[in-house]
Amino acid sequence: MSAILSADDLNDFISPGVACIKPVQNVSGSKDGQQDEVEIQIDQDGEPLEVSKADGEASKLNPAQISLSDCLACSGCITSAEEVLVAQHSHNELTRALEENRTQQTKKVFVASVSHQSRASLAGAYGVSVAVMDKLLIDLFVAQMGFTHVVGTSLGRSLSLIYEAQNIIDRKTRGVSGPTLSSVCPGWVLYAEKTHPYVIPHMSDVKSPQQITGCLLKSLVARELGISRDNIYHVSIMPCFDKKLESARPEKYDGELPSPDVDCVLTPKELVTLIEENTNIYSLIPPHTDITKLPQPASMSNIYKQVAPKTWPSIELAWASNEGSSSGGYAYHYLAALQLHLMASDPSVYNPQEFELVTVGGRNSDVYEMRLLFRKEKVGSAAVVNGFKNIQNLVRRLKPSKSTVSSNPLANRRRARLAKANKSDDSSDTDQADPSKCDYVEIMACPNGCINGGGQISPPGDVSAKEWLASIIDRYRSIETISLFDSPDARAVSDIIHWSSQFIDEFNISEMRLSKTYFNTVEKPTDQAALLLGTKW
Amino acid sequence: MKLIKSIKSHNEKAWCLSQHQTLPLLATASTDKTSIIYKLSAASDFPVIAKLEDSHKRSVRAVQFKPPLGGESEPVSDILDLPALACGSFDSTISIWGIEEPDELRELDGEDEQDIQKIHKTLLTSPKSEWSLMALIEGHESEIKSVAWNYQGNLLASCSRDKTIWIWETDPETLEEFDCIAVLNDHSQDIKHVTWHPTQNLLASSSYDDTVRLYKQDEDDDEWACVGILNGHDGTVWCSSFEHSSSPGSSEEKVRLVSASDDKTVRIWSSTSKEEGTTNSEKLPSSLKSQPKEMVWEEETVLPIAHDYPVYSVSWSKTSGRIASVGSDGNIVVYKEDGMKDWIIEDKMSYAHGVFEVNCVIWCLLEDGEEALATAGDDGSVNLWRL
Amino acid sequence: MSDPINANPVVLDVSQLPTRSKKDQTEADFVDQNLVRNVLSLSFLERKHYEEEESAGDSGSDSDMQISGDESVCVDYFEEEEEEIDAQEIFDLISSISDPEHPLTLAQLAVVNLNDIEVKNDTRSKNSIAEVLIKITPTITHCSLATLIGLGIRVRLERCLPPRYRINIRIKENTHQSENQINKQLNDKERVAAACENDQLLGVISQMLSTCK
Repeated sequence: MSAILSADDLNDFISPGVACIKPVQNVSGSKDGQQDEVEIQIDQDGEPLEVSKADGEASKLNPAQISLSDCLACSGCITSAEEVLVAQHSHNELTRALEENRTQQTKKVFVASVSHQSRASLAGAYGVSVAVMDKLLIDLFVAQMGFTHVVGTSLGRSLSLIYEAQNIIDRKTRGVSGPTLSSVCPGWVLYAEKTHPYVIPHMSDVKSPQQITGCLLKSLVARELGISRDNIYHVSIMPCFDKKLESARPEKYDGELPSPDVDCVLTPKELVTLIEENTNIYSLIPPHTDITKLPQPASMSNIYKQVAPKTWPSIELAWASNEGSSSGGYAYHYLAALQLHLMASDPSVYNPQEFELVTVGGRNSDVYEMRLLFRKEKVGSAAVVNGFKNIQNLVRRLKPSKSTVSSNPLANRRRARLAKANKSDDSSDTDQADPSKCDYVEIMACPNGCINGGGQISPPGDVSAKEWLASIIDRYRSIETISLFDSPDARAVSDIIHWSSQFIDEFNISEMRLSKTYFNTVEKPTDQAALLLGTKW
Repeated sequence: MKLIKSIKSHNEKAWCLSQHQTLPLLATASTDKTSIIYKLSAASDFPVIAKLEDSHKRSVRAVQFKPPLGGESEPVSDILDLPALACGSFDSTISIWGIEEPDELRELDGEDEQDIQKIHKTLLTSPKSEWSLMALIEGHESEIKSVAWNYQGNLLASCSRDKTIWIWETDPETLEEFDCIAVLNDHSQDIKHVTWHPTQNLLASSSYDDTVRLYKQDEDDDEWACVGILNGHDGTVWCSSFEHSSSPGSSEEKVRLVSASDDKTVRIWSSTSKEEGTTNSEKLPSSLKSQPKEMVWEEETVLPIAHDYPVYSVSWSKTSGRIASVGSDGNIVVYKEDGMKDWIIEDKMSYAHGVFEVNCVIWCLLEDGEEALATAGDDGSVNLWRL
Repeated sequence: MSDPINANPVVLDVSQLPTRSKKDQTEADFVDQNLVRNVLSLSFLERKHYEEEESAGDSGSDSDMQISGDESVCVDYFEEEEEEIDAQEIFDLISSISDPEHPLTLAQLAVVNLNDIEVKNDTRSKNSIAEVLIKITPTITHCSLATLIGLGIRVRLERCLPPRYRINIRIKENTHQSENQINKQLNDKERVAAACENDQLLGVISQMLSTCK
């Protein structure tokens, strides 16, 4: 899905649908509001004119503009969104904004948040450790570009993980049928909205780390510097182009706090391009430096602390990583939270020693299931599903009414016949991961998840994609982790929840604004003109 | 060439034909949204065995019978293979059809092995066996143009105007679940046809982008990838067909494929690259190779030109090694290999379906073992030919 | 999007258009009768009725029969015809197709022209394959409706010409920026067949053909 936007990765993708169908809004607003019949003409300069048939008055027409949020609301092409993305979220847009700030009166304050996967990718590309890369990035943003604050997305991710786990446990307790599906991957969300709206009721509406981080960062920086939220320009470094689409989704609770929470999303690829195109101004590696000889920073926490907002809760929450998959570990954290939840519900029964977490493989490495066992009985399950083809198999299983075919009597009898023929083979019921029967599914559109996002830096020509990915995963794993639910007292969790409820009180916003997103079924076009031009055959 | 029988099958275009590998069954696909299964028995005048209807909302474009369990070379002996058929439709779905195990089969214990086989064949091709829908596979975004089973019947490939090929994995016995294991999007346009090699997991696809592409599975991580591209046709490639490794004229070191195109030509391509890698991958130690080894293909020959209009279908006979092609001009052309790489026209039939276009040709074996050609045309007829 | 793509096309007067109807009155009467029925069969209302039946879940063998019945009316007309079909005949069949966005016919807009129609009949036999070549001239070189217009012409001819005709519809050289692409699509029988099962497209085409005389 990212592949469309980057035209890069060739294995996984969704193909574009019909042409753009954005209805042209009548913005011209002719005099006294009445609508004369008009004709479109082209003047001598090739500019379009609208000529009234009633009085012959001509007025210049403005070119139609399509914004990213239009593209999100449309069932049409996703490719034209690419152009819009380039315009609204390009590295040129950032350099332009920085340049404008230097030359103009109205000063904006620049802040950045950097995702774990992007840090790993950049560190891999430059052959340095993640800590060294963090230092170089902070230097680039703060010292060279004049950013006031830089944070990792860890606090946002921790909140996202906590809210997500609570949400699933809540749904499981309420007896909601079917699995809860994660909505952290915007490529998957968009695909579901456009082509499989029946899965929307299954989707968890917890916001992603990027959006939660954005909300917190802008609010805290605005208060710290005593400026308006609107004067803050937030750049987010993400492994995936689809994160641009996510940042462009209008907020549902916009009234409470002006959006956007993220102004510009850049991928590691684009960041490298930006630096390469502006070598006279910016450099990631200090000039004349042998990168292999860069010293390991003695203590990163001081550096992290200097560039985080003063009221950022705990510094390790700015940059640390989490257990579980390299997409963020959503599936793992749900099960860890579930275990704590059970232990808290009845400490006399649920002895921590009797829990066990087992992993069951699927038909390929991008599908697996984790089961939480208590006294060898399954008490909860969560699956990880990455990549388009695996998502396909999941959504087909979740489709209502199609279950009739799978319970086809013919197939049942054939199965029975087969079982009889293979009497000796008792273990024919091989245990394979079935995400559609889990409590929760962590879904990412890219094969291998976010660590392999479309915006991550590609391997150099002489390195295989597999080997490259393994080295990036190693770097990701080298980032220090914090324990959330996997520490017995879950101190970190209660600390974070305590802090976030304080934040909500202090800033007078709702928990919904901070933590919830929403989904739309994208309508099919009905406009005749759109059909005329849009129907491809 | 002589017409054995013309069956008025459909009131609208007949698009595609398939014969079961071991049973004398022939299936059709038509614009009238149905598929009809006939018994290829001249003695009983090619009776209708089943009509498969009410499951597709648009034309049935393609049909193919599933190969027997274990493949034709090493058939599974401990369980009787029940025939099954895949139909691909313009409504973007694939339907899978099959029959119940006939009750009479269970009473056959103790009879002579040869007799049993004969009775099996009769029972499995009887109109009393009811064909019913076993699965309906969704996934493609637009019209499905072709479906094909691999030689073992555990993989089904489908292609569509949405420019993708999907490979579905299934249990070839129960045909219960079809899991997508690959989505291949190498073609830049509408994909017209897919076909598998008759004895190995090598897939070929023909496209509106004027190329044929070949795909294999990586030995390390099971991912499917494009391993070859055939450039040469100057127009849509409508169809391709592999040479069977047991067909006369085939050689062990060489894989050959014949392709038919809108450019009015039929071409033969060959690949001798069994183990050799490309220069690029030679530089790497084998442990690092992430892509399946690329195959080197070359155009071996262009068959003598015998069509005045686009060639829609081509078929390579396993039995006799001959090639047959049909197209818009209504001609059936049969080519024969005459010495190394030299092909001559052995036979030609004009107006095989009157003034109508001919959409499909396949080689088949009639119940009595005679090799015949079957063609399907815009007139809705299926014609059977003796050479 | 609802603005016309070419707002100011050159329009020809209907009386300037080449026609045969005056030179043989009796034949023309015969033609009219049949064509009226034919037009009815292609009209939007009729088609809509067909669609409703289909969408109601009924695969509708009745309506299917009805359509093919109408086709045979058309075919009969030509089979009874003494003379061979010529360019004028083809022109008469397609000249009155409406443009999808203007209230004008393709002939009035000079999208189809008699000089750009060629019929190649095999002189050996009346039952042999013959070819019709039509070059259409889009009103502007980036006309995004050119494929739709071509499809409308093809559908009209496929329904009315005997099956021995191979119809070749091309964009007149250098009159469209995507000439090759459109030519390829318009002459791909499979794409055309699939398009004819797309209800939305059929609706538009039925409207275009509803003005056919």
